[in-house]
Amino acid sequence: MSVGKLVIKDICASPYICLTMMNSSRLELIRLERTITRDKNLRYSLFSYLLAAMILLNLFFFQSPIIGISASLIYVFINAFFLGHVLFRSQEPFFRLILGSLVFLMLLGFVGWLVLTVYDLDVMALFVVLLIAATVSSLMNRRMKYIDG
Amino acid sequence: MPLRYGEILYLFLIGISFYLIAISRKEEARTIWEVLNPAFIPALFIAVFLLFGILLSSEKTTYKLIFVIIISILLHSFFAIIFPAGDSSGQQITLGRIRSIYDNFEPLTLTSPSKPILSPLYEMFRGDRFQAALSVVLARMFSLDILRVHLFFVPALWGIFVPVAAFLTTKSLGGSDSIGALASLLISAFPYSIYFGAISVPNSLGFIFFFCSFAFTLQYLEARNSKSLFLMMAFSFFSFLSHFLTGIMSVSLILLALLYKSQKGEEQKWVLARAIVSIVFCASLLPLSLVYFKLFRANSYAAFSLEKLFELPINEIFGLSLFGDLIYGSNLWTLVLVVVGPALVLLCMIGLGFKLRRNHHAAPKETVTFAFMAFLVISVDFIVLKLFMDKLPFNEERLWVFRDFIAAPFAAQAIYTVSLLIRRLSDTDSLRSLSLNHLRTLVKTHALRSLSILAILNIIIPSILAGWLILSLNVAYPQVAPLQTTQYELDAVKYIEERTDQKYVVICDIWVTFAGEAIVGISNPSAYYFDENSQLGIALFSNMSHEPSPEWMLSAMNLTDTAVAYFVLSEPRMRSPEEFNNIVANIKEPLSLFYVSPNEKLYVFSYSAPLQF
Repeated sequence: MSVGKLVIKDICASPYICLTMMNSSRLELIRLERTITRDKNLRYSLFSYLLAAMILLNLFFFQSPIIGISASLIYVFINAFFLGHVLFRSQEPFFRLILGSLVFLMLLGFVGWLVLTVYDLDVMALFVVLLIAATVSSLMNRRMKYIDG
Repeated sequence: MPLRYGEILYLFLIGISFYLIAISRKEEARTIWEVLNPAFIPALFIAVFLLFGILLSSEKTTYKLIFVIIISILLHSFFAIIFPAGDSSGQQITLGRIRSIYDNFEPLTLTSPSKPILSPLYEMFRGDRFQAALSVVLARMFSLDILRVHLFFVPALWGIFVPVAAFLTTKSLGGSDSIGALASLLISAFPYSIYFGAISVPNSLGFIFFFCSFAFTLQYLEARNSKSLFLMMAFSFFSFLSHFLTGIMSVSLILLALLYKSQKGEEQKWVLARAIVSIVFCASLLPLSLVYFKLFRANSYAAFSLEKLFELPINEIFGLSLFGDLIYGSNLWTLVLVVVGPALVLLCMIGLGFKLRRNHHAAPKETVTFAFMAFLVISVDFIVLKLFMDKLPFNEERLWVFRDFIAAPFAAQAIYTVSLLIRRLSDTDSLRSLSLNHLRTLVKTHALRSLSILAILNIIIPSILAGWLILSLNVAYPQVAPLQTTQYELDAVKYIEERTDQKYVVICDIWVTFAGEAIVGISNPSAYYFDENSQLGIALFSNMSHEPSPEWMLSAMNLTDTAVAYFVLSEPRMRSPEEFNNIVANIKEPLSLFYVSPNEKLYVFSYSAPLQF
């Protein structure tokens, strides 16, 4: 699977993800969650790295809040699905998403705090924070997949 | 599932409410009440009225919670939307510190007070660093200025996650989905909870994590699995990372849960004794940690004291332990609001206790007992801090937020039980009991009774609850306040920043300092505003106001190693317009006029150091 294909496909899918999140029924949310957390060929993990890169490029070149907010929300939701799937399996899908978002924000804050303690939180450090946070949540999701068989 | 008409109307009213708040934004405002659009409160009342109806209906829990989250964000965003730089409180100081991390500069300190040996540890773990990290990460991700992100940071997080935590807590306490949804809204009916959800300070962030930790502590007691244990520990750690008060309280309650759990299987006579010892031990952690806080932070003088106990009359001591500082000049409604929640909690806890006594194996028995113990720990801590301690770094009433978190689920339980009892009243009078001879009279009576029950259930109860929530808003958001940071003060600070190439210092009052903190940060070496507590800054401003002279500006420049000095004077901050006009008239060359706000209420004068060869 090439990265080019992945980008086009997933960028095309992103409005669908947003729309589904906005007015999804429970079933659609479960389906979306299953697709993301299955993370076939690390598709969504790579996609969240690409979103992190997009956030970085936006900061350097465009400084557009529209690009920033939409890329960030999709980035957070993908990783929230990962963490919600791992940590809150007994909860309803809606709670998995909400609590997963909270835990992912905590993770972002924690990595940011560590980076701030040892270095500074400039733009490049932010990119590192986004990559670390995405990697941790992706690994946790992979581990859960491994446990589940 | 298609939305019902009531839900569509509710969403429409919420949209209108957001719009009404947005158009209430003024460049000059003291309190939100003096600028709030008059149509806002009626619109909000009807929206809350409808929401209570929706919450007591059979609608899906997810929808109910989404509706609650939307209104919760609205109720906590007043400061952020209406005031140009948010509320003039700790949140502006926090923003000043966060700005230094966002703009990547090392704050310039003019004086270096002696610091305790463990202060580096405190500096590393202090709450505003964690909040700063998260705010800066989000601001950069969204590509927005840190001011906007900071103002909406806690209101948005509180609005989303506190109702969810309230729901989970209620479920663990044995409540149904409907009671959980009701509790998630009732958490916004407690004044202190509303206020702390509206300001972006580390303490508020700590409260959010504390509540999540409490919810998972209850789940741990209920399910006893390692995942709940991990989550309660993790949330407790982040609560500690956000603010030491919420962290210590969270650790106290986790210890209480572990002690409570370990007493299972002991003889009945020892259980009560052990419970009392556990409560005393956990309640002692906060006061003791405050005393030893001086090892970590400079200017920390908290100590035990019997002064209040010996000096105050007995009725004042009693009043203080129940109502805190509210006994000094608060109105009746405020006192009632502070009492209603806890009173409902106590009644409901006692009621549940009696109910559970009959059924020893009931699932929520442990969680209800633990919640009661946690409530006692918080109450004991409040009394100890209020009556037996002195020189605390915060006001003791902050502990009421913890109490409110426990109160909301029980208050919801009580309200739901009352509405259920009323509903049952209509069921007891069945048509089978009617006699044919008196059919007409009885049908009339029956109809009247059913109608009144319907009215109580669908009109009176939601009206009372909506009224309670609106009244809480009225108490939570201050009725009296100084003039908040104005738009033209922010514009002046931005103007100075944009038009100055060299390093500069600004001599101004505390209000312009707040505006400076919002735009350029605190103690920025290239755009220096004196700290809001700086005696030097106050003295320089006072000297410039009484005797405008380049001498003061030069000394400020020398102190801060800057090349330009500005003197900012704002008319509403002076005692009278005449005083303002006099000072402006007295300012002569070599000071030059640099900027005048469009409404001519603010003047900025500049002075550059003469070149030395």
